[in-house]
Order: sequence, then C-alpha cells, then structure tokens
Amino acid sequence: MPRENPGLAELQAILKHENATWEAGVTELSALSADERVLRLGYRPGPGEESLEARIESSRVNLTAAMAAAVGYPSSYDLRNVGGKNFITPIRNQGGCGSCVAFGTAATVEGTQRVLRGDPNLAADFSEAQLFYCIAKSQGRNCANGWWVGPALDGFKNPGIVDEACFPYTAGDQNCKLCSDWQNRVTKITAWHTITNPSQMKEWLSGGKGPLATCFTVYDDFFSYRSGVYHHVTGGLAGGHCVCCVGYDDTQRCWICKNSWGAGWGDSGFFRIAYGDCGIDSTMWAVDGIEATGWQYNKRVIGLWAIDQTRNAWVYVDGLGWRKISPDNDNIFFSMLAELVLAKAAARPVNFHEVQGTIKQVYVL
Amino acid sequence: MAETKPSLEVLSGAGITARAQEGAAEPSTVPPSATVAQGVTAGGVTAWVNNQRINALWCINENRNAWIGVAGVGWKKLANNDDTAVVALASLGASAKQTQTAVNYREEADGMIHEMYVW
Repeated sequence: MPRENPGLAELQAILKHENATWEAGVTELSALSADERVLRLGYRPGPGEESLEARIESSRVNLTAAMAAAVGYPSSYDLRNVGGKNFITPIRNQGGCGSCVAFGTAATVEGTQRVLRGDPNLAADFSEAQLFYCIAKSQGRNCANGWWVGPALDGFKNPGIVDEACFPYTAGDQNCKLCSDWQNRVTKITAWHTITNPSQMKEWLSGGKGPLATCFTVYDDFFSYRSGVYHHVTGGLAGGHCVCCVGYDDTQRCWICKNSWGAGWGDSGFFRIAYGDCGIDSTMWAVDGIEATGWQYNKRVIGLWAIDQTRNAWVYVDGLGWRKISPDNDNIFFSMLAELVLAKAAARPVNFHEVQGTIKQVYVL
Repeated sequence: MAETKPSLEVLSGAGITARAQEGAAEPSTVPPSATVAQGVTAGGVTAWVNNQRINALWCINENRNAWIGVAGVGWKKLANNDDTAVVALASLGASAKQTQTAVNYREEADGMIHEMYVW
C-alpha cells in the first residue's frame, strides 16, 4: 500500500477538518526523510508477542476497561508531578538508530528506581548503549532491525546495566565498549512482568510502583505531533516504537508518555495519546523491583531475619524492604549484624552502602 | 555426656500454626500487619509460631548450645547446625528480649528454632 505522507500544512488542515484533539507543527523530525524517520523507531514484536496489528486490536478491545470509572486509583496521575516532585529522568534522543526499546526500558527502570527510593533527584541514568550495542547486538539486533522489550528487561536482570558514563550512547551500530570496571557498576532489577488490563496499568502508575514501558504503531502524522491528545488521523504506517508511559488522564482519556526523540519533538519530548489508540495499551511492561547499588542515608532498621544457614541474615529497612547482610566472611557478617541489631533496638538511623541489595558498609548514627 | 538444657522454668503453652516448607533462603514476609497473627495448633513437621515475646535467654560453654525463652511457650533451642546461624539467631533473640517486640519463628520437628523474624 503506498504511504501517505502529507506535508505539514496539509496535515494541519486535515486535523482541523477532523476536529482532532492534537496539533501538528515543525519538529526535529519533520524535515527527515521517510527512511530517516523509520530509524527513530525500532520496535519489532518478539517471538510469542502480539503483532503490531494485533496490539491495535487488543487496545480497541481494552478501550472499555480504559474508559471505566476510576476505582481504587485517582482519575489522573503524572509521575512528572507527584505533589510537586518529578520522578522522570530527562528526555533523551536515540538519534538515527532503531534503539527505542533500549530507551523505553532504561527510562522505565530509571523512573522505577526513583519512585521506589522516593527520591526524585536520585542519579539514575542507565546505558542504552550497553542495552543495545552489547545485549541486543549479541542477539543479532541492530539499528536497522530493532528489538523488543522482554530481552531488554532480561538484560537488566542479568548481567545488569551500567551507568551512562560507563558506555555513553551514540547513534549507530558499534562494538560493545564497556568500561573496565563495568561489573561493579551494574544495576539489576529483581523481576518484570506484563500488564494487559488498563485499570491495572493505572493502578501501577499511581500506586507508587513506577512508570511502564509500552510499544505502539507509529503512523506518519505522529512525527509532527506538538501538543494535545494524539490519535491517528492520517498518514501511512511507519513502524513499531517503544516509549515509557509516565501517567494517564481519565478526563482527557489519554496516556502520558516519554519519547526518545529529544526535547525538540512533541510537548518538550513528551506526548499524550488516546486510550485504545495505535495499540498503546495492549500490553505494558512493569519492573517489579531494583537490586540497587549505592549509598542509602538516614534509614531505619525495623525488622530482622535469620535462618539455619551459613551467614544468612537480613534486615528490613523502612521504605526499602529486605537487605542482605554481607556474608563475605564470619567477622564481616557478625560485625555488621551486631551494628544493625543495635540500630534496630536503639531506633538509631543508619547510613549504608549496598551492592545489588547486599549491605557492604554500615554507619550507625 | 548429655547436652545441657536451661533449667529455669518459663511459662509454657502453645501457639503454633502450620506453613508449607519454604525453599528460598530469604525473608518472605513484611512488617507486622494482617500477615502476622496468633497461630493455632496444626499438624506437620514445619510450624510457624507468630507474634511471640522473648522473656529469657540462656547459653552455656558448650558447642552451639543457646536457647531462648518464649513467653507462654517455654524454652526453645536455636538451630545448632552451623556456627554463624546459631550466633545470628542468638543475636536476634537477644534483640527481641531487649525490645519486647513481636517475634515470628519456624520450629522444626527437632524442636529447635530454624528461622526467625524480629519486628
């Protein structure tokens, strides 16, 4: 089928005629050729996943649930403004490489880490380059043939993903060039799962769990989106694309998403898209937890656990959950256990350094 | 030589609830809430005793021989299969004695405490 690709003026006229809920304008992608635009996408449904067409149909089926009155969650929620706090990391730009899956999943894990820590200023910037040029590449994926979400999140589980500085992203197929100490710099997630019910997507977003990764079908009119609630009006199918869903609005009946096309596209890099449109809410991907590496400050130990196994004791840290006491050797284990037991009994704050969920250094204050 | 046991009497009683054997060696519950409830006696070799208070401690100069006194239950020996485990369990028991906060523990058919939460 020949691709329609109306010019901007023509597109604006069509939107006006159709009483569309969104506005088109000049964007950083407006001047690109069709081939260059396709390189800004990069989602290919994986084995066992719905096709783009099936996602669109599933979203339509889900529309009734998406439109249902809010029960158990607020009627709107935006992780960029939760009581004035913005838990979403800055807009990035995938450039001319079909690496959207790396950007959509990295943004989701970054936002999840900030939400779970309750810290909107937490330094969270994971290497899309490692995701795409190391992990995806090892699976035969490249800038031209794209990727899908499951293997990217599996990469976050194992081997884990380093910080951006360890392997900075540039657009274009390249070799895996991780920094020498990369194994000490990875952040891992504990698990992930998919959500196919829009009500549960809203519950997740508004429930202190974090953002969601999602994928949808991009048509040519989307490249010129500037503001409003996007719904497909005109233009041919360009391809599949993955982004990070950061909120929703039942009044406008839309999802709020973070794109990876720079801040010069869309609404400062973000967009709103109508419930049930383009397969956006067929399936979304949720990150269950983060095995964090880094310092935690001014925390309280509120629970202890031990079992009949060698050097296996954990503490429950208020607001974070269970953390394992370092089992590196007997004296380390017992010193740390003694200090943390005291911290709990005396209700004293602790600062500690953890590596993938295991406490390695403790201050009791 | 027979192993020594604590001789000072503590209140006895029972509050045992059954739970399936857990294979994962990591904590699985969250701080006290609806998940922590006073148990009732049930069959099975693995039993969880929930929401208890520790009112006594005992140890002796014998290998891996430490006990805790559970209010309303009596003396319970801590698992003696591993040096680090018995010390960790004793540390938790001592803390619970001091704070008088809720303890959940898993007792096996050998009568010893093999796993413990202190809240």
